[in-house]
Amino acid sequence: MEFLRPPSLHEALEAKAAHPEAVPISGGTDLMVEINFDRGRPETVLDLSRVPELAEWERENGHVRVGAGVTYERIIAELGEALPGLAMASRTVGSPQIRNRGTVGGNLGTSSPAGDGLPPLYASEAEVELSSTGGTRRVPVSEFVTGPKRNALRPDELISAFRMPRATGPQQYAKVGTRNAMVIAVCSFGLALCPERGRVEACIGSAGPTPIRTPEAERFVEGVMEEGGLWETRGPIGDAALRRFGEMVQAAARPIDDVRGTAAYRVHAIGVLARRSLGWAWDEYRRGGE
Amino acid sequence: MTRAQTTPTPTRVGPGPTTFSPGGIGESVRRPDGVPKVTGEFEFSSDMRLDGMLWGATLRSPHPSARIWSMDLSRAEAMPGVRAVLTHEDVPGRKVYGMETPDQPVLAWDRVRYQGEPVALVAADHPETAKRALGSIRVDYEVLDVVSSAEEALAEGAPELHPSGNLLRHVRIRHGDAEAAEARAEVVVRGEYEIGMQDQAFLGPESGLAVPDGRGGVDLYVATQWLHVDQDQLAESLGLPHDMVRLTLSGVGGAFGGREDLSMQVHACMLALHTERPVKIVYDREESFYGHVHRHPCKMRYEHGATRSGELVYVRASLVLDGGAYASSSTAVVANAARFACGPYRVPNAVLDAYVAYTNNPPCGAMRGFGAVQTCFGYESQMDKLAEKLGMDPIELRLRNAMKEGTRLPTGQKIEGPAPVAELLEKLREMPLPEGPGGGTRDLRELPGGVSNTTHGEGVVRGVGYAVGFKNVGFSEGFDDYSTARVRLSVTDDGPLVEVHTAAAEVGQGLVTVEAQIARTELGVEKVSVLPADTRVGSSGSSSASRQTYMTGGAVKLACEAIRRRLFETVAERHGEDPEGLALENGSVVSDGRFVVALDEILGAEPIEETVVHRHVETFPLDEDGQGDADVTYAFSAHRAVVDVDVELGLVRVVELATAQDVGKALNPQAVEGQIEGGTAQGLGLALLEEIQVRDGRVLNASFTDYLLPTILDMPPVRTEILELADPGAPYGLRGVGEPPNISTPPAVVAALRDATGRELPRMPVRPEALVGIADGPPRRRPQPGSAGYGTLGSLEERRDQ
Amino acid sequence: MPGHNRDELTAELKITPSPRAEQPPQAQVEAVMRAAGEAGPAAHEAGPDSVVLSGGREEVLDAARRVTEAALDAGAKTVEVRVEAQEESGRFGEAGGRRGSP
Repeated sequence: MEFLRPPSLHEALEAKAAHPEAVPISGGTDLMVEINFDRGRPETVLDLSRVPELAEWERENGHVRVGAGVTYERIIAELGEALPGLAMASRTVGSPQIRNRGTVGGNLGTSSPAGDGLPPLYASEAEVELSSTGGTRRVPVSEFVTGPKRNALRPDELISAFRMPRATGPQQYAKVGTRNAMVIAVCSFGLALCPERGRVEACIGSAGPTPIRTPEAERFVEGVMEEGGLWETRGPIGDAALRRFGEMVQAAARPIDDVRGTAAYRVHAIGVLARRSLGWAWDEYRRGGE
Repeated sequence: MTRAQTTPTPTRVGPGPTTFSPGGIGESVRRPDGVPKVTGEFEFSSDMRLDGMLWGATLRSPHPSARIWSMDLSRAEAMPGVRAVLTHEDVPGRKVYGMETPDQPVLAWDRVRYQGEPVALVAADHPETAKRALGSIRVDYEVLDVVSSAEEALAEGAPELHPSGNLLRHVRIRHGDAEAAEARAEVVVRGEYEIGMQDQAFLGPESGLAVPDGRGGVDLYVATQWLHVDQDQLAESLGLPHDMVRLTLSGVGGAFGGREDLSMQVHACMLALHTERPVKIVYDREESFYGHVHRHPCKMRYEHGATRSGELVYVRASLVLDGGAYASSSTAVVANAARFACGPYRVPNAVLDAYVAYTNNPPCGAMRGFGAVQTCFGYESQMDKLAEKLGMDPIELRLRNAMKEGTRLPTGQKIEGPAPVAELLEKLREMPLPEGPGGGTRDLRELPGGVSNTTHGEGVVRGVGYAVGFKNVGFSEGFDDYSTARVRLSVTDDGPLVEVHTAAAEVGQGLVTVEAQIARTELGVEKVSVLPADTRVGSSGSSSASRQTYMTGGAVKLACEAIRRRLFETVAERHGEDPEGLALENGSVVSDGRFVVALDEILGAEPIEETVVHRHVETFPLDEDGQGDADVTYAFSAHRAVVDVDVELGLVRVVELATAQDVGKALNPQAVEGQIEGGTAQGLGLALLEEIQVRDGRVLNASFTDYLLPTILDMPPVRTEILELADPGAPYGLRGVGEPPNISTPPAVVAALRDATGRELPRMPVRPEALVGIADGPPRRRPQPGSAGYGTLGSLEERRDQ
Repeated sequence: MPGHNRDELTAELKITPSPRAEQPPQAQVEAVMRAAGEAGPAAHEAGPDSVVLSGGREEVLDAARRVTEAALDAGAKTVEVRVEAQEESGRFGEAGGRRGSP
């Protein structure tokens, strides 16, 4: 096994160009599990943990650009205000040790539908920045992830960053697992309110081959709010609308049975999470007007 | 095959003697391994190393049932760094082993009967090389039909796993006259219950180091539960006399029954003898799931008849246990399940049938609670059901029927000594309930779902449940159960020293600490050293059945007493004292508190050594009707569980577990609390999380990613009330401590879940699906009425129609 | 572990089928396995051409004779019988002691 450890992004991209078969590793919280289980034995491993450019984040007019190597722990500590949904999702990831090592870049690279970082990225329509020696391209996250553990990354590319809008309203992330900590999602749900645009953005995790956006449910709630002038009055949404939202989110889920839970339960739980999350986010919005 | 050029120089292997902080029995003497384990300095068996050592690895069958047509080892043998590739042809002695019945191949020849069955071995210079070599071995398998459940195994025409058929043992107990009693029953409740396959999930995977002695024998340093039963089986399969197979216990990272059967022992010794080099084998977590036996899954049918005032009149039960592909200790587990199937209650009439069958599932055997865990879930579920039907308080119903001193079990055995079932329940009832539910808390860690942010209080319902359980202490059914201790009292430059040598396995329960406490108390000597456990001293039996403090603690006590007698005889002779009035205190012989002589002086250069065997009272086999005094004594515990359930999502937070347990005498109160909390946590795991999911003989979750153990956010504080009601037959009056908490916790948790949700919850672990009323997993096959296991009871539908 | 004793006695029977018998070699071995399964004590395969009977002394010895006869009837050329008392480690650390009755 060849082990490459470039000290800069430039050299990392050159290494990737020279060794397109190289498997990138940053926190190693996914890859090392695969190796320990003997499920995969990469010929070449490209260690990105020493690349300073990947460990930075910055504000870019209304957006935040987060390097692929920024750990969950730093997202929680440093980006809780700008990206509250992603920070909430980060808090549900693994144990403190995992959060100290794991990165959203890794979640993107693995492209598992159960990745906790993905629903917030989907909900806020984040873009993934893919770099190679030939340049950089930006791909919407929903186009980047093409299937379970499949994505649009080319062999000579590395995920360098993702970019998403700063929160303009309350956000939520909720995840069902059979244990109260350190658990892979049975299903999850991310939600963002964008009052300035009158938008509700939502995404289901771990209940389909990829994270799934819920446009019909979102449009429904937006309609309820517009009709009642709720964005302005900050009045209550009403239980019926919350329930209907939950049902419409359920309708979008496409889960399977596996060791972690049955499809029927996932559908059921997604509905509950959607209803509750919207209620919490809306309550927060209402309190914000006091 | 290249041979080692250099003779390895064993620098140091395995543990050295352990010395202790002061303290006698009844004191919470600190365990010597506590700090080293927390700081990572403790040497587990997987940490051992020797110069020139090779790494062994095991090729396992990917199929649960298959015929092996051929094996091609040539590529593995040709790999650089590979020192040996062995198959069944290389097994020097008997090709099959087993603790009770030799039925399990050391290495498979033409057939595999479970997924993960060992097929070939490799020894190589590096563990990675060994792994690559395994990958290059070609085995031509023909996949065969899978017998995937015990009911299927017992059905007419099922494929047979072994020549003598699939039924491994049927235990039949007939007590009183159940048929006549049925007429007196005014209220009848029936239920079907099921329990999944729990794993011991010890944190230190199977590991050991085999060192050839250059004269055809071998020394094995290994993490195990019973050195001598390993030695017996090793001698047979290696074709060596016992004195050429010597074992020493190395650092054990938990056991819980999962280390009673052999795992890597014969394999490492075969490779070491073949290569003439030390060979180490360490399983990884996934292999560990395939490398040891698990708790038996069990399906139970119960029928309880009672009077309107809540007096139990009869119990009928039919229990079917899945033994997996090989016998292990199944025949003993099934007998425990049967003997304790009615619970710690006065049951005048009982018809009990327990069956264990061979299947193509992973072999099942010993695990903490040993058959009593399964049935406690059954009978306690029934007691709650009966209480509900009678409109009685569930504790009241239990009190009314509580077993006490003198009660006869369905086996006819009379309970001797205290049986404080009612006292334990009363203690629990007196304990205040925790506040709740939710209490407007915003701390997610105190809500179901925890940090995953699934509820802020919505849907959360509080539930409370109770359970009481019991089981035997020590080995039963006529087994000649003994333990050996060698104790030596000598004088060193630092004054008198006691050395304690036994073969008893310290598996984390704290035995070595207790051994030192006993020696210190009995001989009045501060300095005690416990020597490493090995086969140079006689057998201590297994660290299981909650027996080791009783049996080996008892042996140490007897050996100390023998030393004391000899010492006092000498003192009496030399100093003209009455030996009856003498005692040992602080390194001196005293008489009524008066100093007589210092130990240094009386012993001089002549140490006193005694080797003593301790036996418990004789037990007897069960007869055809399951009658007989099969048990030594019993241990009892009760639990109260308080849970918050998110009834919409089916997520749970256990708020508190309260327990009352009779330990007879707490030799080390802190260690006792540790055992109770640990057993309680393992019981919580079984109630809510822990199950090896097996489908068509295949394990679906052989990892800690998907086999979930409780975390600190799942495990609540344990409120413990310890009773010390002396068992008249036991050393210091002590009772076994380790297993009871694991028995009464799961049904208490499930009872609390039922209380919160109003659902029946007939199956453990209880998954979120069941708590919200969504079918749990794919439909399970219905057993055929009339097949074994259901013969005596008939199908529930049939009995309902009668 | 055991509430149960280790089996008192084992008898391992190794069959060498005869190529000249009426039945083919594999059928001879299978006939022996069948007879072992019906002989009473626990019977398990113990190698490619071997079966081990385990249990109490009398039942194992009786069964060993019946299985041997079945093997000969099936045409087997040789039946090697190895009867072994389950040896137990010594109580005092010496090897090879037998479990006595208490």
